[in-house]
Amino acid sequence: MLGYLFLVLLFLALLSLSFYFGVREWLRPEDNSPLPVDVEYVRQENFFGLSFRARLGEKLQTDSPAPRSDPGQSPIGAVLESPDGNNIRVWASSSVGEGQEFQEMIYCPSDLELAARVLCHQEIYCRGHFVSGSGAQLRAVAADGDADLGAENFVAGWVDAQGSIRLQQSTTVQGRVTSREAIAMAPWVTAQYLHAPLIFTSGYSRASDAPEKQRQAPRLALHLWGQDEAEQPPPPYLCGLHCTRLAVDTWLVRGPLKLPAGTNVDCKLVVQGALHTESDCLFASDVKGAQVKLGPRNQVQGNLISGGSLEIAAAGVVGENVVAQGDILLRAGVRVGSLRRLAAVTAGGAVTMEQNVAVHGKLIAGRAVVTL
Amino acid sequence: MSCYFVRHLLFALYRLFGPHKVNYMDLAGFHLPSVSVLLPMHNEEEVAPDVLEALLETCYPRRSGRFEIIPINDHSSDGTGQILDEYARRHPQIKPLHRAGGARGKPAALKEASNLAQGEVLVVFDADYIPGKSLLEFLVAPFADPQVGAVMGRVVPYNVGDSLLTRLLDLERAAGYQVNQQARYDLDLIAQYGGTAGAVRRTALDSVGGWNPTSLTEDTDLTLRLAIRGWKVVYLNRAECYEEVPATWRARRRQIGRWAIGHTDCFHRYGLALLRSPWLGWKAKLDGILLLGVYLTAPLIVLGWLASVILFFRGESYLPTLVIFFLAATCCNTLGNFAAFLEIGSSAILDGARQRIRLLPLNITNFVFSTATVSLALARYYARRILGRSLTWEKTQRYRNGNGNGGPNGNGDANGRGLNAVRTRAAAQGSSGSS
Repeated sequence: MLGYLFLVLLFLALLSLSFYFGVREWLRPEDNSPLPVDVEYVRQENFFGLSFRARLGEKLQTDSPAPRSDPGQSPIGAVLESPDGNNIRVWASSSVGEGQEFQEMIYCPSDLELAARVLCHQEIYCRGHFVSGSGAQLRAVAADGDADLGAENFVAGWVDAQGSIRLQQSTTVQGRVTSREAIAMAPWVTAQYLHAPLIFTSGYSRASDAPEKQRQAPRLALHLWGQDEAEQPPPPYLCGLHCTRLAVDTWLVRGPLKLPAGTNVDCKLVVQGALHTESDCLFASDVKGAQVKLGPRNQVQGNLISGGSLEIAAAGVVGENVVAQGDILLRAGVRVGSLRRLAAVTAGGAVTMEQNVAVHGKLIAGRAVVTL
Repeated sequence: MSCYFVRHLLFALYRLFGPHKVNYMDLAGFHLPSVSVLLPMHNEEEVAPDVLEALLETCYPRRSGRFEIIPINDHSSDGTGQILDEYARRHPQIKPLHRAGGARGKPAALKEASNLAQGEVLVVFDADYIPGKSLLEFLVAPFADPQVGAVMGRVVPYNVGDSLLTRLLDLERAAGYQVNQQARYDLDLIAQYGGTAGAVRRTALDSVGGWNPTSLTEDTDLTLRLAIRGWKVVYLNRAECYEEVPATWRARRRQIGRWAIGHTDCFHRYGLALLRSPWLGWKAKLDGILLLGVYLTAPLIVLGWLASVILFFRGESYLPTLVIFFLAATCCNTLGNFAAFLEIGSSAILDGARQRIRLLPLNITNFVFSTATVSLALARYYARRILGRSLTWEKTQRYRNGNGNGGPNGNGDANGRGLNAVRTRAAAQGSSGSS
């Protein structure tokens, strides 16, 4: 009997303990606010650059100049001390010698040139054009003009320029690269996220891009879904395959699907298996496959989606967005988007770009964007 | 029951440690189809201005008819109609639909409005929601994928501090979206379109016959029809919108009773078709059946409890039972009762709201209440089926004006939950408005 009583008491004690904290939180709430949802949020691609410029501008007005620590040493600009410890070095000189190291944020009211192997632990704001030598290690760069990062630069954060950005060979940027004009990527450049009206790799020439050379495929007229549509036979390239009309403008195929050269697809196409195409195929609208491999000179006038990896062979053109759960490989001569209609290329894995590739809009990769 | 235990455990673990799919929100601003926003309203004069103002401030492009708002005045007896007409006079993209005849209820209202909508994508919000400026861009981005038929965002309770019930429902919602929906989407199962703070592709809706006006849960009904046909539903965890959850147990009973009946009705309508669909894998089919049958577990649990009591009084050997019960109940409450509660705890951690995890053991009250309510609701449902009676729609009670009556109060911010309050809150939490 005593044993049963002990068991009951032990049970009640443990049960009460688990309820105690809950009842206390209920009666004296410490966390009863709604989760924060920012209704004012609007995405800005160059947010980091803009907010840094604004923050630095405020600090430049409030911080006070610090005395030189070593009067004998030739100064490289005045240092403004900040109450929060984030000092600012204001560079009067526009070029900095090789191998120097700086702990402060750097502000230059005109053009700025860093020599090779300079190490900057904080952000840089340059009101003119920015140039860095090879092997520089930077935290982040904001430039009101152009930005030219030398070979083998490493940027731990972001790069934002009002003008063009040039990333030279073997440069790595771990954060965003954003430009209002263009981003040029030399071979072996690695970045995570790029946004500009034009992003291109070596070998690309704007003059060689003839405007609007796309072939026009007849678009399927949309009308009310009815019995007739449901019973219409599939297009010739789907004959013999298990497929269904998903919607009035969309066919769903149980893949894989291989399209011969010169196929014109005039509807939206969803392939549950792998999609392979030969050369010169034309897709008038959106395309999706579990894996996608497009042959040379294919054109996709809509969005291109892959549930796995995605490869666009030489001279392929995609009018709208490119999305892949896995890796994306853009072969030489591929074009994505246009200046009139920016597009996003987004991969769960890596985005690899060969020479003479141009993307108008955004490139983002779960692992890295790499140029060959 | 074991199946559900494994299911919830799997979801929680996968959400915490598994890989995630590519985020379609990266396409926000790059894929901008034409949009029609549908706002079903029945006696919503207190909250209508807020949702309309919020939508008018959206950053979605308005050029050449790419954006329209269709508020649906569904048999309202208050000033809702006048408010909508006033807004329509000032803003050409607002095109109210006034319904005084025909079937009542949200599904019927949506069906009629969909016939008028011009957009390629239909976005649906309840009247008491406050969508953010970028929410429309987020919700339509996944439609770049031609297989996507519907998109669901995440609803976040705003009236958390009203009562113990709202706090428990906040936990339940967090688990349902942050863990359950996200895991189902990542695992390529059937993510659910929730009927609000979500979007549907117009051609997808047409291909499955449109909204079902006879269903109590038109969202689940649509989700199943889309999935059976081969469409996908995308869940976007960061496409968030505030909502209000029931603040009284009575309102909660009506809500969950409707869900239970609607879900189970869908189970009967679509269960076989789901299993026969050639476009779904076996995992999706299994999860779909478990999803539809989830409310059927409630009467099973009640039967289990009854059986235990009967066996006890029949003089069966109860000592081992008592020991097992004590140990189980203790473990239940100290280690996280049921895998479903593991989901709740996981969601609180993922949301960074750790202190509210302390309420987890109190969720047993919600659980017992829900079990009883669902069991009674299903008993009513099956009785109606046997007698051949139809289901009736019941509107969820609103609390924005503080009295739950939806009556004239002259101030949608009477209890500090309107659009201005939400903006103020966002500013106080350090919103810079962009990132």
